[in-house]
Amino acid sequence: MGKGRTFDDRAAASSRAATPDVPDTSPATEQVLAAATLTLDTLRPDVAQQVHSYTPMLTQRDLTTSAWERLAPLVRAAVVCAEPSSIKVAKDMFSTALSLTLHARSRRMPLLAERVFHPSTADAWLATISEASRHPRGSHCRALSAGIDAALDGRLPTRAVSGSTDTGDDLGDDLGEGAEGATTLAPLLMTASAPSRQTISAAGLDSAAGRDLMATLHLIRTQVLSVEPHAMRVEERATGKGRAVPYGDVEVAALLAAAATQRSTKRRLHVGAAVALGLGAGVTGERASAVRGTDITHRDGILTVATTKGTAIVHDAFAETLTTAAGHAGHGWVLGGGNGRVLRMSQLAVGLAGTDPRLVRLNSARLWATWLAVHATRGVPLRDLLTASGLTSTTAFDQVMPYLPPTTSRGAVLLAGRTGDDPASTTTAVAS
Amino acid sequence: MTAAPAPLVGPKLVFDRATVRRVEQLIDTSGLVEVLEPLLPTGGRPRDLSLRTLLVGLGLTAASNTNLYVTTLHQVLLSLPTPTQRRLGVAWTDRHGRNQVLTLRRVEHLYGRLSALVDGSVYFAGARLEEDQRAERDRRLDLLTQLLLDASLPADWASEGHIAVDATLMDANSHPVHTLRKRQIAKAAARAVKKGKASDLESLLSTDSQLAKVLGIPHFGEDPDVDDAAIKRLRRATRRAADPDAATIVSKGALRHAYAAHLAVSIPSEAHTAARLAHEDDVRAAAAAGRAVRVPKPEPEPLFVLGLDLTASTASPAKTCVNLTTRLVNGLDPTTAGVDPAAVPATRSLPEGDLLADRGYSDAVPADFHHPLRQLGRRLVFDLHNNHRGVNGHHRGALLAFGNLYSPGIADYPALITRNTPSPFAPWAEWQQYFTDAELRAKYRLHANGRPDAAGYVRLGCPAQIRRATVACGVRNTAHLAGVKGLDIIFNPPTAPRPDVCTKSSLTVPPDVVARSMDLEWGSRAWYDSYVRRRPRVEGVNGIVKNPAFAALEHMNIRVRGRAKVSLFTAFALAIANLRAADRWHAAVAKVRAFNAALTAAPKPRAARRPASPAAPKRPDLAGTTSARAP
Repeated sequence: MGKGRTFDDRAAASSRAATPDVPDTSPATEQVLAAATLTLDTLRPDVAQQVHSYTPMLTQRDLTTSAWERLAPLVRAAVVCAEPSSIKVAKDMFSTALSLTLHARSRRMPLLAERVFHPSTADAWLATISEASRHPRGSHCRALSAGIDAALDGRLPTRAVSGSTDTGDDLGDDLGEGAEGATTLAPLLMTASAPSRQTISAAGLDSAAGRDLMATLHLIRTQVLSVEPHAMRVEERATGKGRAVPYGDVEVAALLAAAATQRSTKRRLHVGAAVALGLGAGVTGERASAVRGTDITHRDGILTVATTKGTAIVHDAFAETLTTAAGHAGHGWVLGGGNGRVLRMSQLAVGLAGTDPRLVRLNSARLWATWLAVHATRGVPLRDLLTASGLTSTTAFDQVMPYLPPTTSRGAVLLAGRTGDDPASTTTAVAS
Repeated sequence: MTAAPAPLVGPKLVFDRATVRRVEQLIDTSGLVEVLEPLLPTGGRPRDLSLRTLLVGLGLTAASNTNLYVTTLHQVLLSLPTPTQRRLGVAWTDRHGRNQVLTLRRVEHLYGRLSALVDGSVYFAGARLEEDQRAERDRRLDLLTQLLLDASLPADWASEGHIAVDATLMDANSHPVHTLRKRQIAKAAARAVKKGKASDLESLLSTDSQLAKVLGIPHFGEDPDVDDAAIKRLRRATRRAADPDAATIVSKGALRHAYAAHLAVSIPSEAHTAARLAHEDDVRAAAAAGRAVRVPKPEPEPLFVLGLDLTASTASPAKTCVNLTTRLVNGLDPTTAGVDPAAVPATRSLPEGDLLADRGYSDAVPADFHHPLRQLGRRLVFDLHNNHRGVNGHHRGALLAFGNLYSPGIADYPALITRNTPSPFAPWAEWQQYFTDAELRAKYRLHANGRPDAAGYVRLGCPAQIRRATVACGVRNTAHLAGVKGLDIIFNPPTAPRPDVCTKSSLTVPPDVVARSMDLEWGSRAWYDSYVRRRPRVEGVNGIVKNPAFAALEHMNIRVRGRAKVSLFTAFALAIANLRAADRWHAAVAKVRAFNAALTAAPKPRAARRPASPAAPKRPDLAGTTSARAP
C-alpha cells in the first residue's frame, strides 16, 4: 500500500532523541535541590569534599560521562539530604543512590526526587539485588528516603538544629531523630472518629469481650490524641519512631481487618495470630515467634500461652482467633515459618504495611504498649500485670504512662479506701 | 554512445514442451475448463479454438514475461511446435485437406466471450446487466482467480494459515482523468503565479476573458448566480477515462490511473522466524568463535500468492482485505457465482492463523477491518498509525493508548506512553530502549479475563489485582509487591471517586474500544519480530511480480482494459509466478536439508577437558640431595 513502512515518524524522532536521561523537574525536586544546597554547608568538610568529588565507575555502571553529569545533581542532592556522617557512609550512599536512580531510569520513571527515592521504588530495586546486599542497601535507601522527606517537609538539617556540625565519628545517626522542627504535618494515623460498626464486625470484635476492649481502646485513643496530637506521623512509620505509642480502637480494628483480608489462609492465620498474641496476651517479638500451636491451651476456661518467660493469659476477645491459629499450627509455630526458621513479626509486618499508605503498621512495641495500657486502664493489679508481662520492674511503664486515661471512678473509690458500693459519691469525687 | 544493458530475460514467445505441459497441467488442475465451458454461448458454427487452448495460451503469455496483449497470446500459440499446435488445435487440416492455423480474429472472439463471463463492470460487458447479474459475474471472477491460484500451489505444501496482505498499484491502460479544461486552468494559474496575481479560479476567470471563453463561461462576472452554477459544473466536469474501472490517484507525487492488486501472501509462523533468527545468531557466533554452526536452519517458507483481489486504486483496502480473507477462509461459493458446484474442484481453505497488514488496512474503522477479520479466526498483527499511538482517551478510568487499555497509574510513567518513536536510522541502542519501553508498558495493560465472546466483548481487569499482579498499587492492596516481586509501583492512583477500573474486578469492554489491541504489545521486540520481520515478504512478492526477470506484471505490461480482463491476465501472471516460486522453494528446501544433514552428521566436538584438579603436592625428589636430609 506504500504505507507499510514502520517507524517513519522522522519528525517525532528528533523530540525523542532529546528526552533520555534528563532529570525531570517538579516543585518537590526543586525543593530537594535547594535544601541540599543548604544542607551541604552543615556537613563535615571532608564529607562535603567527598560529595563534590564523587564520580562513579562509569564503565561498570554502563554510563557515559554526559549521562552521569545529567544524573549527578539528583544523586548528590539525595546523598546530601541524608546527611552522611562520614566519608565511608557518603560513598556507600552514593553507590546506593546512583543504583536507585539507574533503576528508576531503566523503569522509565520520571527522574524526580520524590519518585526515585520513594520507599516503594527502593523496595522494587531491593528485590532485584542479591539477598546479602539487601540489608545494608535497604538501610541506605531508608536514610535517603528519610532525607528526601525531611527536605520536602522543609525541616532544617539535624546538625543545624543541634548546632553541632562536628559530631565526630558517630556513624549511627544517619536515620536522624529530629522531627522537632517539623512545620508541615502529614495526615495522622489516629483519627478522631470512632470505627464504624462494620469495621468492628470485620475485625471480629463484636463479641461482649470485644466491645469491652474497644471501649477501653477508645479511652486510650482519646488520651493519646490529647497528650500528643502528632503521636504518629506517616513518615515516622518508616523510621519506627513513636513505637511505644499504644494503638487506639481505630488502629486495632484496622489491624485486625487487614489481617482478615490477607491473600492466603495461611497468611491470614499468621497475621491474625501475631495481632492476637500481642494485643491479647502481651506476647510480642521473639516470644511470639517461638510460640507453637501446642503452647496455646485452655486452663479452667481461660486461654493461656506458654512462653519462654512464663505463661500469659489471652484476652477473651482474641481467644477464638488464637485457638484457630493454634489448631492449624499444631506442633509448628503459630506465626509461621519452616525449615527450622521462625517467621519474625517484622516479616509479617512487611506485607501489612505496604497495603495502604494510610494503614497502621504492625509494630511489636506498640502491640505490647497497647496491651499494657489496656490492662492498666482496666485496673488490673500491678503485680498481676508484671507477672503476666514477664517484667520484674515497672520501668517499662514509663513509656505508656502518659497515654493512660485519667483516673477511673473505680480507681477513685479504691483510692478513697472504699469498696465501691456507693457510685454516687465516687462520681462526685472524680468530677471534683 | 553506450549500449543499453541486455535484459535479464527478453520477450520469450517460444516455449519448450515441458513448460507447455506444465501450463496445461495447471489449467487441467484448476478445473476452469469444466467450470466455464458450460457458460459459453452455444449454437452456430462450432468453434475451432477450444477454451482449454485459449487458457493454455493465456498461461504461456503470462509466462513470456512480455506485454500482455491479446495479439501476444495469438503469437505465443502460433510459436508452439507443430505437433503441439496440432494437439492443442492451433493448427489443423480441414476436411478439404488444407492446413489451417488459428486466426487472431478467433482468439479475440473467444477471449471476449471468456472475459464477458466474468465481467460485472457497468462500463464494459456488464453494462446492460442487472445488479445481481453483475454481482454474479464478479463472484465468478473471484472463483476463477482462486481456482487458478490454488492450482498453482504445489501439492507437497500446506499453508500454516499465516498470511500478509498488501496492495500494489498496477497502471491501467488509460491516461489519468485530467480534463483539457483542468489543464488549461492549471496553465492559467501558473501564468498568474508568475505574474504575482491571485491563482484561484474566480480570479483567473475574471482577469482572463480568453480562459473564460475557452471554459464555456464567456459572460463570467455578469451574474453571480450564473457564475456560481457554471463554476460548479466546471469542477464536476471530467473526461471519462479509457478504463473507468480503474481510478486516478496521486501516488508518490505522480498522477496515476491504476488498479490496486490486493495480494494475500503466505508468510512463516513466528516460531519459524524465531528458529531462523536463532540460526542466524549461531552463524554469526560461529564465525566469531571460529567454530562450526550448531543450530540447524529451518526449511524455508515459500513465497506464494494465495489470493488476489483487483480493485480500483481508490477502493477501500480494508473491505477488500476482508473479502479476500473471507474467500480464503470460507472457500469458494459456486452457487453465488452461477456455476455448477459439481464442476468446481475442491480448494484448500486457510487454517486459523495470523493476518499481517500495514496501516493502509488497519487504519480503517473497526467494523470494516478488525471485527470481521477476528470473527474469521484471524489473529491480527498490524502497525498503528501515529494518531493511535500515545494516549487517545479513557474508558471507565482506564487509559486508552496504543490501541490497548492501561491502568491509569501508567500516567506516572509518561515516557512509556509517549508517541515519539526513534527514526528508522536511529542507533540500535535507541531501538532497544524503545522495545524495552513497550515491554514495560505491557505490564500496565488490563488483564484479559478469558477470551472475547461471540460479539467481541471482552472482560478486562486491573493489572494490580493480587492474583496476576504485574504492577503494584495501594488501591488494590498490592503495594507490598513492589518489594516482594520488584513490580513497578503506582505512585498516584486515582482518588475518590475511584473509577470502575479501580473498584471492579473486571470490566466488560465493547469491541470497538479495544479493536486496535493486539496480543503483542505494539513496538515490543515480540511485535517487531512478528510484524516487521514477516510482513515485508509481501513487498517482496510485489517486487517479484513486477520484475520482468520473474513475472509478467511489469509497469504498463497489461494492455487490456476493464477489471475483468486485467484480473484475468494478473491471475495468470501470479499463477505462473507461483509455479516458479515452487521451483525455487523445492531447490532451497533441498539445499537446507543437505545443510542440516551435514550438520547432524558432523562429528560433535568433544567437550573441553576439565581442568586438572589441584594435584597433591609432589614429594620432593630427595635422591642425591643432602640438604633435605633430616638433621
